[in-house]
Amino acid sequence: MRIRQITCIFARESHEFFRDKILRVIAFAMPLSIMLIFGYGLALDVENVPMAIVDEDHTPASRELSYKFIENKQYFDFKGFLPKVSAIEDGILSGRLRFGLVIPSRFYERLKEGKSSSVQVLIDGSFPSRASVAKTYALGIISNFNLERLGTMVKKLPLRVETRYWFNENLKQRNITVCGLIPIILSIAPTILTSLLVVREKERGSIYNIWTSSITKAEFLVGKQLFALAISMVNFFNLFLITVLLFRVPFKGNFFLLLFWGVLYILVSTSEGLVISCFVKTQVVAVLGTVVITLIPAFLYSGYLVPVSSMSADAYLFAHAFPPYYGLSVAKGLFLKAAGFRTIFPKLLVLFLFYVIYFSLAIHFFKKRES
Amino acid sequence: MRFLALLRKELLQFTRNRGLVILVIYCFTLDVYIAGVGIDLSLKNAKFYAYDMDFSAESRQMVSKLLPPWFAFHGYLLNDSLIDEVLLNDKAIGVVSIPSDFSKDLKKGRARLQLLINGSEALMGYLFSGYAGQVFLDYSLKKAGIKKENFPIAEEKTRVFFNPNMDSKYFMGISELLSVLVMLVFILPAAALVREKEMGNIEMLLISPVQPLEFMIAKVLVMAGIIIVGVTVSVFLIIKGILAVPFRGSFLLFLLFTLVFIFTTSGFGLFIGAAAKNMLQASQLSILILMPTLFLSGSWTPIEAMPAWMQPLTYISPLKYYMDASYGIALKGVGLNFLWPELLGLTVLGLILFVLSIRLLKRVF
Repeated sequence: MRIRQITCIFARESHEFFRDKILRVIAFAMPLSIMLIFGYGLALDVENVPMAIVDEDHTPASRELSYKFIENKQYFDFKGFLPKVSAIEDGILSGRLRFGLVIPSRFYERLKEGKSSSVQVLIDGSFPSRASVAKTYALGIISNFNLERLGTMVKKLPLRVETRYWFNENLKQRNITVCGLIPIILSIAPTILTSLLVVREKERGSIYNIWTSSITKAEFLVGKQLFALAISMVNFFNLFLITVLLFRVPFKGNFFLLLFWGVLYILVSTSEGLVISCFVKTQVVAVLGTVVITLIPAFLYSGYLVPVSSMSADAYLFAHAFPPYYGLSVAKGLFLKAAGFRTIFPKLLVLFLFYVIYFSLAIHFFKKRES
Repeated sequence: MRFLALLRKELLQFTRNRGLVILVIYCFTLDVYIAGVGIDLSLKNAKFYAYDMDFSAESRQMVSKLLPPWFAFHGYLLNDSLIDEVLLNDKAIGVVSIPSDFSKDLKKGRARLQLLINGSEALMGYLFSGYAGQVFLDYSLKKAGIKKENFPIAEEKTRVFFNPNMDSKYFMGISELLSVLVMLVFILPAAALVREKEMGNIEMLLISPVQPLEFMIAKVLVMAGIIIVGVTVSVFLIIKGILAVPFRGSFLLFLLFTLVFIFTTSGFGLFIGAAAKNMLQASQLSILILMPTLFLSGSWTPIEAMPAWMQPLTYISPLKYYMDASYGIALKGVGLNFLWPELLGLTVLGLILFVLSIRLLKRVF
């Protein structure tokens, strides 16, 4: 490994990068724009569910129950009373409504007779996760209504449940979604950048210069990788600053650990890009392949939307076979839980293994001759 | 004839790139399958531990109340520092903590129980506490001697439309198919155009009698053909076949929407191809436009849950109309009488985009 050869490749890439007026802007703007759009827009909280009520009973009790739903403005966006059930069905079919409550005509009568009476809840199931959250809201509101009505009959419930959220006391979803975006973006953007660095030379023909020179495979790839690392580190700092300053996510951990994680994680992503770049023959395939290969593990199998611990056995294994799970888990630990070195060490070790494996694969696939 | 030759050239260029063919096949099959099968956004198999200081029959009963398939009990914790550890390492969504005189207190009617939720698991943490809270409330009502049938309380009967079991496959499978489709519509024409530039072929084309517009339409047509075949295979083989998601509406109507969508959105792809000088630029530009288009479609977050300033922006994402229409056709089984606003929106937006990109293209060439 000779330093001069490596710096030479690094300098060559940097020159080309900074001469490219468009590229030198987008390479930094792209990660930021993903951060801003998802950071502001992604809402896992289920709020403002558009809802309508059919009250066939028109009694004080039915109005009381309706009112309990209507006044819950944070969760439900009340669109109005409708005359009959089919109107709610139409609303859900056309996408105007996602939730409906139907109070049947003998509701109050039955309650007065001391019997239970059922109300119907209609939910749009096209967003399954939101449907199940909306259902728990409805259950909660109805239980509340029951408890208040029973208040005089039952002295006290024998069991009280207290709920406490650890690490994120108010269950602020934005803290989780925003800090989780850092590893997700860092597993996509650096990989796409690196995935073109080698194949571009193959397609252009400038790879012949490398084939005939005395530079070794490792030197060549390390030079390319260091260049991608430098660009991505700028993005890393940008993302961190936006998270902390703009989104005001409290950073509870040790910054140097995060920095160390950032360098290691970007090395993994860029090595993955190098593997793709050395393996494929054309740039189209490199770009498309990278997007396809990185996007799904990053968003779906990293634990960003669904905790890995509750995945099915297959998905659980799949999640562990890609770096984003480890990257996200360390980033969340440092941001939200003030995790120390001992807690994150095993995951950093796995990331290091990914780096070694990917980089060796890249060297293996890179041929210094016509194949 | 000249146009046919162009079509043939594009098709050959596609099929000869073996890597690309394999990737496109992967996108429409395995990729949709992996996304559809693995992810479940409802509460299933949520791991929890119990920290039981009472260890009585009653306290054990509490733990056994949290049943599969929603909950998965993983064992008792022997001291409270372990609570910290399982939550810190994301080994569990929650811990049920039962104080030492629980059974005595329960007899006196003032027992307490704690649910400690891992707050770094956004959605599941909420669902866990919601479901578990409901389970314990039911228990509590029963313990207080309240039987649901003969007490004046309101019961709910839930009816979930289109997806009665709230199965995530329905959502994820279709959403992933639409996402890969958008990605291909963006990247394929852009890449094809940039490739001509990088190879230097564009000079030859510019001096030939072939009009730039003609040349681009050939690229879009071939891509549309490939995508239509891919979508058909994906819907019948993967979504209906393997994932067993019902496709309730008319498949032909869905193809019509797909075609309109391809032509409107290919404007973006062509524009990227015209503006970019090399693949590095093209790749970064397409991601830069792809991510907002995906996000603003409402496939990640329904539009009503976005911040107010962002909601009007969703109307400029062609994917929004296409996504609404696809869910409408596939899951709800509705027809044009419900979906004509989407078709209108898509067409109008598409015309605007297409005219704009053609004008920009003329300036570039």
